[in-house]
Amino acid sequence: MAQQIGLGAPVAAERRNPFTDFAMRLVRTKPLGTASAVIVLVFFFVGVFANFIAPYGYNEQKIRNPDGTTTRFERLSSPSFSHFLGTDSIGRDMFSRVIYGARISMLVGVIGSITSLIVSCLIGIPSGYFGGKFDLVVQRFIDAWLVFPDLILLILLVALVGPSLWNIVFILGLQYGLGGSRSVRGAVIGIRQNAYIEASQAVGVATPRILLRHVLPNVAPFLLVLVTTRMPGMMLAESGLSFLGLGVPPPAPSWGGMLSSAAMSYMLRAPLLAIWPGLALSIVVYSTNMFGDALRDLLDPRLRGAAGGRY
Amino acid sequence: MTTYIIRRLLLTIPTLLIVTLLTTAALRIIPGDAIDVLIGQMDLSGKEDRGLLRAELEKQLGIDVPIYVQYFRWWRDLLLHQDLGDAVIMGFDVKDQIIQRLPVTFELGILAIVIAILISFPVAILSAVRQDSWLDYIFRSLAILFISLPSFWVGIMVIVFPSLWWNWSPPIIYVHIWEDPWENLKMILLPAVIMGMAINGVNMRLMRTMMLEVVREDYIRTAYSKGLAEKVVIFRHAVKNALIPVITVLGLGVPVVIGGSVIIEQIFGLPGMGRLAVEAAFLRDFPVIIGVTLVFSLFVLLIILITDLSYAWLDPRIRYS
Repeated sequence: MAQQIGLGAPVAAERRNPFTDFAMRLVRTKPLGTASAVIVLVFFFVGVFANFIAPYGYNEQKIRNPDGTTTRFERLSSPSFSHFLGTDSIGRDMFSRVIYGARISMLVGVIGSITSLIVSCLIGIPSGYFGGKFDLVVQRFIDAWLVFPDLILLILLVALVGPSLWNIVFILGLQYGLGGSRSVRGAVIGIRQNAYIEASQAVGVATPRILLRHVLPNVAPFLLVLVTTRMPGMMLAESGLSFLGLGVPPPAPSWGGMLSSAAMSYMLRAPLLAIWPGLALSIVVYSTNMFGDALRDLLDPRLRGAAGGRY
Repeated sequence: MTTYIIRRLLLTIPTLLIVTLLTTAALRIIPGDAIDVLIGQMDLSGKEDRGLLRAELEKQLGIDVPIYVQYFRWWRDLLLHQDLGDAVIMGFDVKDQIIQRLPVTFELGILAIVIAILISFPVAILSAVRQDSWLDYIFRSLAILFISLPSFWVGIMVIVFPSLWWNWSPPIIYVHIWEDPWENLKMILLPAVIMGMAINGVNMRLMRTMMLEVVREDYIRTAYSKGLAEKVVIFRHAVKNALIPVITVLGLGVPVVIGGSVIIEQIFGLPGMGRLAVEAAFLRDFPVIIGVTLVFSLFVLLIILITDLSYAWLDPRIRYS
């Protein structure tokens, strides 16, 4: 009986979850990448639970006292126990605004990435798989689209549909998705050459099924790398647009918006206000980039070795 | 080679047609346009009929006809009269304005790319030659940091803190290069360094990876084993071969420069193309937007062509016919 359990144990150990397996490999070989992933996760949860963490609302200018009266926050106050990072030019708690800012950045990064992934797959996979005239025509339109410099196109699109959080998210998703469709197409062309695709075609598997069951799973690691390398770009683009006044409209607490020209006029009086949103943004973008790098090292065999380090 | 260049130049025509068509169509289809801004600016105390006023304005601006007619007229004016039309709200001639503003962005971009090359190449070569040393780690972390820092934040820091600590702030009134080159350089150097930073980060990483691949090639081992000095092996054999993909990135860096110019010019008050694009986008001044789009896309297409041609120079195995 005891022997049977002893024999059964290694079998159970071999049936590990591929996800935890991968996570273990990440932790073992890329300590810096793991640390960055943890930082990104922290910011993600700060964003999700912003309303529980932030001491005040992002647009709150006064607080109700126990006796029923209200007290207005001082404008441009220095950091103190009641306002960790001070208050901004119209007396809103900076700490709360930076925390709510994580929500916007993460929303843009995550939902934007998912949108871009869907766009990339919808265009890149058929274009790469079918090739021929279809590919040629689609790629000419992608060419024309990619000729626009990123930010200029974003500004045009925002000017057209109007600035709002969801418009920004979907415009960024579309823009980055079209850019990424090129790389997805390249990856699919590589996969198309494999014998298992030819085999499925030979036994008469329907095309949608081949695309979903054989092509998609094989580009999946590549897509994961694509997302992590695109996400920081999207977050930077959103804050850049908000900085210009074409992004998420105020009073929503976008990190870029907090640094916009309107806020800039107060910065000589309260220079610390200029630091916090930019610092938060830089940390998130830096960590996402570091994590993306580590992920690429582990998942993209083409670059393995050449770029192998302890990131 | 000549036939190749001509064929490539001809291929840019359909792309330009699609780009301008998409811009024209998008600007005209989506409601809420420059006319609204224009009417909003007018004094409507005369109790004029808004609809009538609108129709009159549209006729005046030549946008009462279908989009494809506007599109053909626009190309006809451009090709026959070299005219990009007048700005609806900002009131200037679009071509003159672009000619005036292009040198600013051009200078900024060139300087940014030169700075990026000057810093990234030596650093990347050193990083690759001393792979996995502490120097390598520092440089690699720095490269990622350069990509991650938002340029508008760095710009604000550079403006706010020196003015607090040393009472120094970058000059505000723009001086053209032909008026006072030294004054002009003082003004444009700081924005160019900030802009070069992002290109720098991308370059450093790519160049390092490429160098690492090249260093493992047989001909490098041969060069070492026949007794050449490391300096000669690296500079005469390795660098040139690692340059090819980097040239691509530099070519692709041009759209980054154009996009970055939007933000950097805004912060440092430089009257360039990027600022023109933002101003026009705010007012939905469509002739300006289409003009700017045309110039930018023409630039990008040219850069892509030059990039492709430079491959042939760097790698004699690539021949265009």
